[in-house]
Amino acid sequence: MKVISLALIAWQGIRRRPLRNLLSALSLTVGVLALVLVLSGGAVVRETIVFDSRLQGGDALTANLTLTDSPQKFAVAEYWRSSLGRALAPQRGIASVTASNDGALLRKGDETVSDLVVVTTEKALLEIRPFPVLRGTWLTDEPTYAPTVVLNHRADQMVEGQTGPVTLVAGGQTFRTSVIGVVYDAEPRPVAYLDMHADGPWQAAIEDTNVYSVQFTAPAWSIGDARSRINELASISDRAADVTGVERTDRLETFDRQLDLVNRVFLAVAILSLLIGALGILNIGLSTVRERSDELSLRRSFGATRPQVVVIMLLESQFVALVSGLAGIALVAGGLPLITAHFADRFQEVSTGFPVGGALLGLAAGSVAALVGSLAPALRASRVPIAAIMR
Amino acid sequence: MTTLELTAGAKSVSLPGGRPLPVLTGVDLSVEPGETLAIQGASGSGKSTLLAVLGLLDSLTGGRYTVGGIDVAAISERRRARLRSTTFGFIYQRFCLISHLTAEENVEAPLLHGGVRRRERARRARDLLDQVGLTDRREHRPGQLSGGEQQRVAVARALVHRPSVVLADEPTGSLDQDTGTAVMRSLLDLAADDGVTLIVVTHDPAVAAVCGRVVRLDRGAVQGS
Repeated sequence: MKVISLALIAWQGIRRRPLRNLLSALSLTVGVLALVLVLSGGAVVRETIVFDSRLQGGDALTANLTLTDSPQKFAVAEYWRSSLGRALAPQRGIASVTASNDGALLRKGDETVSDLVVVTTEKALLEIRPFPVLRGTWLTDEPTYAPTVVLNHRADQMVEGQTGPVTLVAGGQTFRTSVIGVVYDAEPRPVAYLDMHADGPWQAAIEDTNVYSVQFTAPAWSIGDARSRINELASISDRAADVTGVERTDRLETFDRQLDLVNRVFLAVAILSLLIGALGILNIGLSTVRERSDELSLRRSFGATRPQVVVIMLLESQFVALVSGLAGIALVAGGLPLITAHFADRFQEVSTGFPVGGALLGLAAGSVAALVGSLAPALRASRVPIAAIMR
Repeated sequence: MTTLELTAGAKSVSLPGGRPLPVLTGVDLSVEPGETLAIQGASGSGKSTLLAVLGLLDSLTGGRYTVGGIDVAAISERRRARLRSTTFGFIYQRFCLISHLTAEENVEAPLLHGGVRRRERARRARDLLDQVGLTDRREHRPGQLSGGEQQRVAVARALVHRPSVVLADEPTGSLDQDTGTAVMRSLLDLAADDGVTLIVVTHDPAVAAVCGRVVRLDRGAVQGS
């Protein structure tokens, strides 16, 4: 018998109990949906978390060397930037001086951004924390007479729609400033980035209150390597007193572990749902074999062999699996943009393409679940005596 | 055309406890192509079992059975299934239509199993439904048809794949006298048109009377014909 004939007979079998088959399909759909969601939605969530984590803490390994507050703190920071820069050159690492100053204010028009963090830094910070530049430019390392600032998205949102001059209140002084750009840095607080090398007369007033540190990336080091190397450098140059600590800032590994755990939980739920779907098919299959014994005997009398009866029954379950799989995929296709919109930041370019791999895997998983659930009924169906129809 | 030869055909079934119960005992029967044969006997005499054996729905436990010269015990299940589907058409007392299919789909069913193309299936099914007077009932499901109409659908289904032998088990047993006569008349006419061998198990003397030969079974053995 041709495969197409077997498929047509299986399709006729599906029509026998449409509601029952629909309910089987529904339970399987939940499993497929959960699986495809874990595979595709999980990727979106991971992409988002990785993206924000890179902006906030850099790639592995990124660490912060905090320095002692002293009258020569700028020179000390410059020394360590340069010293670390040389040590990191073979592994293409980068070091950048950063100083932050909490509790500043920014005014534009009628709006005041309080609790502003002023980060005085260098152009190179962008290589460690790759902020997307939403408008204007990033710091240029060029001298300016008046302070120029780059706002983060949060600060920019707070002064959105305001016109007029921008003033910055930091270190107890007020400066007329201009905003040269806006970046997305994944920080929840408003931040203004200032150029450390602008060399303006305003700089000393702001920097006096700053705590300096050197942020660096060292792809080939562990945090232990970094600490040992810094201790070595401090010991050679007799600068141990400069260093107050070396702390890791990248958090991808931690997030990865957490995400992995969450993914495992969702995957277990998906597998459980598929198992329930398979049990549903098994239950319905076993109960219908008895109901259908006349039909099965009749089909044998038309020339169907036992293996063909098995194939017909398996194909019926595969139709259910196909419907479930397509429904699950359609739900994911409809829901994924919502998940993306919910999790992904509007400044992030998350790949929103249809998860073909996840969809195929979902279809395959649904098919396997249906196969598992229908195998026993199919074998039982093939054993229905052909002469039973005469009784 | 196909000759059926049953020699010393025996069939027994196992009762609980393994004790064998003989159903057919040494049945010798030869049916020539185009013949119409009625099998009669009391309930439990083995009529339906004999019909099942003749139609390859059941197998013998003793003796020999050939269909068109082929010893059915010597061929594979696959070949037996093929032989069954190409040689035999079946009509049952309970009609045995597939409840979720339309009349036309029920008639098409043997052709679908035979791998016949859709257009050809539809053409042949419609022709036969026309011949049994069910042109306007094609799209109806068995539950929407009367007993007589259902049996006429079963007659069409038994003949649609052009078998050389039609085996009917009490075809009028579930019908009233008039309807039964009408169904039997359709069956005989259609069988005669195509030179089909017709073997009918029946209690009804009127049905047996229209057949060319009558075989009587008693406790699994042929008592006379």
